[in-house]
Formats: sequence, structure tokens, C-alpha cells
Amino acid sequence: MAVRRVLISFLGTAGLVGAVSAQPPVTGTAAPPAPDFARDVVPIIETNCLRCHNSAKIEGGLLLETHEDLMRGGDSGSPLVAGKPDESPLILQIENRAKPKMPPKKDLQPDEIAVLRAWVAAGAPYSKAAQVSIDEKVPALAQTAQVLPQVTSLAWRPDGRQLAVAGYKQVHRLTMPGGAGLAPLTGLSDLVRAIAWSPDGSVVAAGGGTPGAFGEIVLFDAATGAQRARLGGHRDYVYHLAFNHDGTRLASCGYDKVIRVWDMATGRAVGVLKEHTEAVYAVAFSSDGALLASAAADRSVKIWKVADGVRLYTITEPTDAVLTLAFRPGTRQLAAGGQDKRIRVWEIGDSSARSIRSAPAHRSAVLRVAFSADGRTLASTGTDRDVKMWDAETGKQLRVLSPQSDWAQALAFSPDGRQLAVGRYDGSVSIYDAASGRSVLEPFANDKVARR
Amino acid sequence: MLAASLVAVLAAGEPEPTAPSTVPAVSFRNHVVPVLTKMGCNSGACHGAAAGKNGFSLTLRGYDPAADYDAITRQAGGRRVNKLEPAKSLLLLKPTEVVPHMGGKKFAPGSPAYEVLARWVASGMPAPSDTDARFVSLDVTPGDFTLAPGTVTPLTVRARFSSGATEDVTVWSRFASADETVAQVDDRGRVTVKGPGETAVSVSFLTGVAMTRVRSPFPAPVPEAVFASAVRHNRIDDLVIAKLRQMQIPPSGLAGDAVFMRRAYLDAAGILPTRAEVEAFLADAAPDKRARLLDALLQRPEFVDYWTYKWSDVLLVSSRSLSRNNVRAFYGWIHDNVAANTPWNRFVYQLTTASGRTDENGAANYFLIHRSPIEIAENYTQAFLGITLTCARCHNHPMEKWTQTDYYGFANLFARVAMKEDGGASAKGDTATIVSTAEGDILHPRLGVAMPPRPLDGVPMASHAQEDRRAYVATWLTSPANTQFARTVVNRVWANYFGRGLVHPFDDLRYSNPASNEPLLDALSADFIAGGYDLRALMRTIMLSAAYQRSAATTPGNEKDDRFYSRYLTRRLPAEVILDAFSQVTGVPEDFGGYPRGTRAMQLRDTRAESYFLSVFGRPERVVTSSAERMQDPTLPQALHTINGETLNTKLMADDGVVARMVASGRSNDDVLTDLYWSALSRPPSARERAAILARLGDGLSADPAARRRSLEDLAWAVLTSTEFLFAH
Repeated sequence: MAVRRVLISFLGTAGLVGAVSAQPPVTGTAAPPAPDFARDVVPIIETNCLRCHNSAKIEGGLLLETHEDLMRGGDSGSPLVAGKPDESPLILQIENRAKPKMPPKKDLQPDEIAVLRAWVAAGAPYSKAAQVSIDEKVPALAQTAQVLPQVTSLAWRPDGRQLAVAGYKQVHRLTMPGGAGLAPLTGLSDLVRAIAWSPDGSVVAAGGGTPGAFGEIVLFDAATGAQRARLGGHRDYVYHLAFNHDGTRLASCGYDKVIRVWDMATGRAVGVLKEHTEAVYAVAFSSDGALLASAAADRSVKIWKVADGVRLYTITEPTDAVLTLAFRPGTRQLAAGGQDKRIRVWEIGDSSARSIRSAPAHRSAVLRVAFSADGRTLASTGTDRDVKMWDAETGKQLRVLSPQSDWAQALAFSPDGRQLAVGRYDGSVSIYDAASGRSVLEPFANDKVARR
Repeated sequence: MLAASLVAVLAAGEPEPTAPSTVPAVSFRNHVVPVLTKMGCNSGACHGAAAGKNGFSLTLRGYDPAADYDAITRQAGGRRVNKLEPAKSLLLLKPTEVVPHMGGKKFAPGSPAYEVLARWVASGMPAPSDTDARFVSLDVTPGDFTLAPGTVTPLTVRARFSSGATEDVTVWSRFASADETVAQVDDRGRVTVKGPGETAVSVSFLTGVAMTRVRSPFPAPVPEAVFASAVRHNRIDDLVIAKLRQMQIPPSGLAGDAVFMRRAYLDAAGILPTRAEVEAFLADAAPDKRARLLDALLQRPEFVDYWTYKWSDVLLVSSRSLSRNNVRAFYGWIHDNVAANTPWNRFVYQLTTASGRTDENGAANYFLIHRSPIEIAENYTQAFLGITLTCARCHNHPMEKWTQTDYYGFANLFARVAMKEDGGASAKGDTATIVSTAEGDILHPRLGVAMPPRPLDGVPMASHAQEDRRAYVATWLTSPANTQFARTVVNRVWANYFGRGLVHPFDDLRYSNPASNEPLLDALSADFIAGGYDLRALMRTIMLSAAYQRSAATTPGNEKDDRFYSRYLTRRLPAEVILDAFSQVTGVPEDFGGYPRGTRAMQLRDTRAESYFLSVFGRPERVVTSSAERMQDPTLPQALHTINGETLNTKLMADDGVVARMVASGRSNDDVLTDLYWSALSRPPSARERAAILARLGDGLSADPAARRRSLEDLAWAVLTSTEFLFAH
């Protein structure tokens, strides 16, 4: 039972958050009463269909996680014709009347088929489920150790006066340089994975979500700390957020392999870029905002034209998952790193990329790269627990920062380029003097438990 | 001060974590990994696949705990664990199917597997460390037991760790029965005996493998007198009879002289005795005539051909990778050594250390066939130790104790061999020169460094040793202390004569696949070592035993025995033997392109000689050293080719063949029939056969010669396609 109820919540949530989705009206009473979508239909779909038609697999291009998915359909069109079960491919499939036959693990029970048939016959109406949080579906399990949430993202306010730190279900803000805490930005469901500050400093975008369930993006008013909007649509963790140069676009990407480009004026996704075949870990706009670059576990970097969402080309040089990338300010040079331990730099043209440099950078995977605002310095972190500074022009290694206590997963230069903020898996954050590599603020710890 | 205030600010108003409890710590290395293995998470079909599943990749059966720790806690942005609310970790939600999981529901909240993973996450996910206690050994009880069918015995598995601690790991061990018709074992280690026989149940936990033997005697008790009075010719029989007594299987009686002779000729030399030979043997009244027959047989040139062919299979002599001259040289080297009965240890030592021109020292071709230390390491261990090391090339062996480190340590023993090619760039170049070099290493692919050269379970070479590595491995391999070397070849030879190895398959001598009669294999191997690795002496002992000379006919109570040697196991003759027997009986030799007319299949140097018949009947390709290369299974193409294929029918219809000659000689059908039976089946036709056949044929002398020839061709066809002809019995 636990399985089904949690997924009901998931279906409900995705429907709720979808900013632009038009929900069909709930039908009125009919005799005999039609099966209820949330109560009767969803459990059958979860039990029988979702193992294959989920956002991670999407067999046949068909996703069946929400009512919207059911209506939209997959590679071979909509699976349902409302009111006409005998013309609905989904009904024909489960009744073994369709060819070619899909390969299900096992056939549906007759009573399950009857429910789906009756529901389609009644017009396949939507009904919203009571939202059930995953919290209520898992057994109590007390944390027995002193642990801190990992710091996956750090972002300076463009004027350098605040530093946002990704926490558990919340975003912390520290006034800089002193480090005094401001009220956290709250309202996320799980660990915050990505933070981005709009160029004018008015909006903090925070991304995350519940793994295996849904991704979420929350826009906060930086002045009041209030939620301005929630951008729904990602079906799994959001890994990275990036604003373009003038703050009119926000790009997001995640484990669902999809990149979304949002119009900040309307909150609508104006681009849904779906060509990566594995998780997309990072996105970055070129300095002029014309191009978008994305890095993914499928060992590729893709370059997109922002205006129309067309993929210009794919860079397949990396030999393993690409975890991070950054445009060098004021140029069209793109640096990327990942599991293959190298940092590669390309000149990004409109139709192809020219390799400038490719060199081993860390003893194991490269986790993050970041350029200073003046474009002269590149910083990188790796799973070898090193943080390194490089001359962005020559690729020469400048220095290695003092030993890190854990993987440094967050990396951000202050806007004036003088300081480098580093956040780690163990929950600690340090601020370094970029020129000397010395720690200027002793390590401090990310927030502790923020339950519910 | 500043830092302290920051922590205070950040943590303000948030609840403190629950105080640490006193439950024992969960070790990633020793507890979490075994759970992932037991539940199948890191199996080859799931996240243990090289590409992982759905972006989540674990090392196969947990051979690299550090990599698995990173994959679980950190990769993909650490999405698989929730440090602060452990119950919401995907690591727990997926296998319990709270969220959809392609692999289905693997366990429930509250189950032992859940508890281990949950406690580990909740305790802050301690990482594997260099100071972890390391797994040392595995012990399973009971270690050897006899039970009646239907009874259930729970096994208990204990693991010992370097800290001195032992833990009951039964629930996290994986179990497998070698023969499920004898005993089945469930995933909790409960053994259910299903039928009579004996099998091994293997148990694995982390890198350890343990084994227990389950025995269930045959149901009908056999009177003690049956065993007491059973014929014994030598020590083999003492041990075979002891096993039969333990299993309560009555032995069949001894085979008659003609049957014994036919069997011995086919098994030892791949030929049929002639009518004259059989009749002379039958007429011999001396009590030691079987021993004398064997002595003579083991000196025949066909015996040398037969065993040269066998060892050529093992050593992969083939024009696939060798030039004609090199094939000739390698084959010749083997042939000379078989003819000289070179002790097996010396033969293998010479092979392993061979240097020089490949057309002069044939043995050097072994290093021309195997182009890399990897290829050699795998085929060499298979050939001479019955160990399949291949799995450990990419990861620790999933069923055996061999680790990837063992593998690359062993392969490195062959890293210092070089080949100077004399005839162009390819190995087909006419000759090459093999030399040992002073430099070169093969790197461990994961660690990126060379492992110290080390024989399996042996002493590693000193890091800067200048000693020839091949000499080192050859010395280790052929040392009397290395009993597995002797066991492997003894078992190969035994399998040749009995149709089934004491260990089956005959080149699979892994620890968890014990012999059906361990004391016997031990004794034969010890004798073999003590006797100077004398293969002919071994074969003589085997063929002299009453066990080998037993009838193929069953006796009540031993019908189901196929592994304890209560009777001779009938089996289809090998491809080459059948073809040679066709040629021998029909008097029409097979034509193999490039070989002189009259060459027998068993004399071919190369298994690439064109022959549809040999291919269909399962001649090995000699690509990898494996018992599976020779196909013994009957197939439809075999049946069809025997019935109306060209091979046999061409010989039967040949103008210079036996049928044509018999018709021309003017002998009666009775004579022809009798001669045919003797030459093909080593016996005269029975009265009933004779009467029935002659009733159809008449005396033949009055018939039209062409029609008579066709009839006799049909008769010969019937005899040569009969089971009695095609099978050893």
C-alpha cells in the first residue's frame, strides 16, 4: 500500500506544480459512478506500467506518471481516446488486442482492465489526489550520528555583499565579508542542489527536488525572502541553475536528462531540450546570452542556440561523464571537466568547437570549474579533494589550496575575484583569498537538521 | 571565534540530532557490501553491469568497496542517500519500491537487509577505510554430511576477520548446489536432499568461497557381500568400491575380452582392432593377456598419434595463428615427446620456458599463439591447473577466491617474453624467434601499476629479481608440492578413459567443484607424482583396473549412476575416431587436402583441415583451451549426415572399397556378413542377426552383381550407422 499512496502524492504534486498545465475538470456524478482517477486508476498504473514508462526510462517515449502524460502520449501518439475505450491503444494493449504487442512483465488482472476501460469510457477524467508526502510513507529512522548536509552550491550576490549557501530544504544567506547569517529561504522539499542569483540581485533561484520523484525550482524574492514562484516540470533532481547575462532567462537541468529554459517574465518554460541520454549535470550561458552549453553523464557537451532551442552541435571529446562547465567571462571559451579527470577548454563557434586545451587536472574526477569574473583565473575541484587555481590563459597551474576535508562540490569566486568560496560534502564552507590561497574565514558548517 | 558564531547562526533553532546509540557500528566493507551482493543489487544483470543501470553503477559483487561507497554516497550529486533523513534515502526507497524500481521490490522495511543499510545511513555512512577489519576466511558447517532424500539441513556460515572476530554471516552468504537433482539449497542456506548421489554446495561471502558436500545414498540397500566380492585389480578398485559401498551402488560385472579390447583400442589409440587381432586375443588363454594387450597397445604408433592430437587440442596447435612450418614444428615437438613418454612435468616445463626459432624448437610456438600475457595466463591455468581465471581479468572472480590482483600478478609472470619476427609483421610470417627479456610488466588496469609477479597462491618474485619469470612459473607449476598440476592431468587422462572426469567437467578443478571420489583422485595424483609424472604408466594403471574393465550393461541398482564408476559409461566416439573407423572398415581412406592419402583424422596436425564430417561431429577449433570446445552432444545434422551424407556413402560405394572388393572376391554373403561384423563391431553376428540378415540377402552368389553390391552396401551402412558402432561401450 505504501508504494501506491506515495505515488499518488507524486502524481498530484507534479500536476500541481506544473505552472502551465491545464487540468481537465473533474467530471460530475454519473451513473454508474465512473472510476476515480486518483483513487482507482493511479494505483493500477503504478503497479503495472510505471516500471517502464517512468521518466528515467520512458519506454516507447511513453510516460505515464501524470494525467497530463496519459493525455499527451508517446512515440505513437496518445494512448487514450476519451470516451472510446475500443479506440484507445492503451486499452487495446492491456486487453492483448493490439499489435505490435508491448512487452509487459505480466498481464493485468481482469478487474484492473475493467476499471481502466470504464474510466476511459467515462471520458478519462482527472481527479486530484490528496497530497501524501513521502515522509509519511517511510518508517521512522533516527539519525544516530552528527552529520551535516552536503554543500552542493554557493552563490554570491552580484554586489558581493551576500553569499548564498545551499542547505537542507533551505538556502542560507550570509552577509559578507563578516559572515553574519540572515533568515534562511525556506520551502524546498529536500537538499538544495543549485542556487543562482539573478544579475540584478533581486531573485535567488534554488533548485532541488526529491530523488526518484520530482524536481523543483523555487524563485525567492531576495529582499523579502518570500517565494515568488515555483517552476515545475522536471521529473527528478535539478542539478544546476544558470541565469543569462540580463536575467531574462534561467536555465535548469537535472537527472531527468532534460534542460529547461525559463522566461523569467512569465515563469514559463520557453525551451525544453531533450537530447541528452543521461543526467545533465551543468548548464551555462555564454557571456552574450546567445548560446547555452550543457554537460551530461552521457559523456557529451552540447551547445544550444538559446533563441530557438536548436542544438548546434555536440562535443564528444570527453571519455566519461561530464560534471561541470563554465564559460570564460568575456570570451567564447568554454571549460569543462568530469570523470575523465581532465579539464578541456574549447573555443565555441557557431557550428563547431575548436579545442584549445585538454590536460589532466586532478588525480580523479573533476567536480567543479569556475572562472573569476575577470576571466584570468580558473578554479577547479576534484574528488581527489584538491582545489586548484589555474592561469586561464595558459592553463598553467598556479596553486593548490590547503588540504580539503572532503570533496569540494561547490565553488564560487566573489564578483570582485578576490575571494573563492568552497563548499564540501561534509557540510563545511571555507572562504579563501584568491591571490594567496589562504583561508580568510575559518571553515564553518552548513545548517544542521531542518526537519519538515 | 568568527567560525563559532557562524555555526551558531546557521544552526540556530534547529533540533539537535538524536544522541548516538550504542548499537554496534555497521561497516560498509563488511556489512553493507555483503547485503548489496546478497540482494543481487551488484549482480551482473543489475547495477553490477559494466554500464550500471539507470545511471547507478556498482562494482560486480562489490569487488571495489571504495568505488561503491562513492557511487552510493556521492555520485550523481549524492542523490542516493539522505544524510539528514536516512529513511528517505533512495538506497532504501528503491529496493523497497516506495518509488518505482526497475529491479522490483528486493526487501521490505524492517527486513534484515533494510536494517543493515538503514543503520549504516543513519550512523553517518562511515566510509570503508584501510583500518577496517578484513575478511580472512569462511567456515561452513556441517562440512560433509549424509542424509536421506527429503530431509532438510540448515547450513551455518561463519566469517573470520583480521580483528580476530568471527560473525555468523549465513544470512548474507550466497549458496549454490552443483547438482540440484541431488540437493537444493535456498537463499537462507537450508539444504534439501532431492535424490540419491553426492553434490557440493558452495557458499560465498565477500571474497571467500567455502564448500560442503551433501551425500544421499541410493535407496536400495546393497548386501555387503556384493562389495566384498567385487573384483579388484589394483588400488583404483579399492577406492572405487569404497565409494560404491558408501553410496550403496552395486557394480556391474567385468566386460568380455572382445568388448574390453575394442574399448581399449578406441580409448587409447582411436582405432578398431582388426578381426585377426580380436581372434588372436580371444584365443590367448594366458591370465595376464589383458595386461600384455595394454603394454602392446601403449607402444603403438596410433597411440602416439591419438595423444599427440589430444595435447594439440590443449595447446591450441592451429594454422589459425601459426604458419604451416610452425604448425609442423609444434606438432612434431608434441609428437616426439608423446613417443618418448616424456614426463609430464618436464614436458610442461620445456613448453613454458621455450625459446628460440619457432621452426626449430616447436614448443616456442606456444608464445606465438598467445600474443599477450593475458591470453597465456588464461589458457595456461585452464590447461594445466583446471582453473578458469578469465573472470578475474575485469573484476574479482564472482565464484572463486581469485581476485583481480591475483590475476595480474599471475599474468605478469608472462610479461617478459618477446618475439622477433623473421618473416614480416604477422604471426603467419614463416618463423619467429622467442626470447625471454629483462624488462616489461603488465599493469593492473584499475590500479594502474604492475603487480609483483606471483603464481596463484604462490610466493611472489622479489621486486627486482632478474630471474627468468617463465622459469619461475614453470618451477612453481611443476613442483611436486603443486598437487593441482598433477590432479589436473590425471583427471584429464581419467576422463579420456571413463568418459567423465573424477572432476566434471574435466578441466574445471575449482575448489567448489570437488571430485566424485576425492580419495581416488588424491591417490592417483600422488602415485603419478611419485612415479615421475609417467603418463603411460598412469594410463596402464587406469586401464588395468576392474573399474575400467567393467561391463557397460547395468545391474539392478546402478542404472542411475553416471559418476561413481559402477559400470562403463557408453558414449559417442569422438569425431575423428568415427571418421577413421569408417575409413578403416570400408578400406577407403579420407582425403584431407594437403595431407598424403591414407592420413587418418587422428593424424591431422591442424584442426583447420577441411572436413565437414569432423566439424559436424564437434571437432574443437583450438581457439581457447576449454573442455567445452569439443562438442559431444548429438545433433540433428550429425544424424542426417550419417544417414545420407556424402562421407559414409562415398566410402561404401567406392569401387576400391570393402563392399566392391568382397563382391569381386566371390565370397558368400555369410562370409561377407561375418567379416563385416568382426571388423566393425569386433564380434561375429549373433545367430539371430545372421539368420535374419541372410534371409533377406540370400547366399548372394546367384544374384546380379550390381544388385548384390547395392544390398551389401545397405548392410554395411546399417552396421556402420548403428549405435553399437558409433559408441564406445
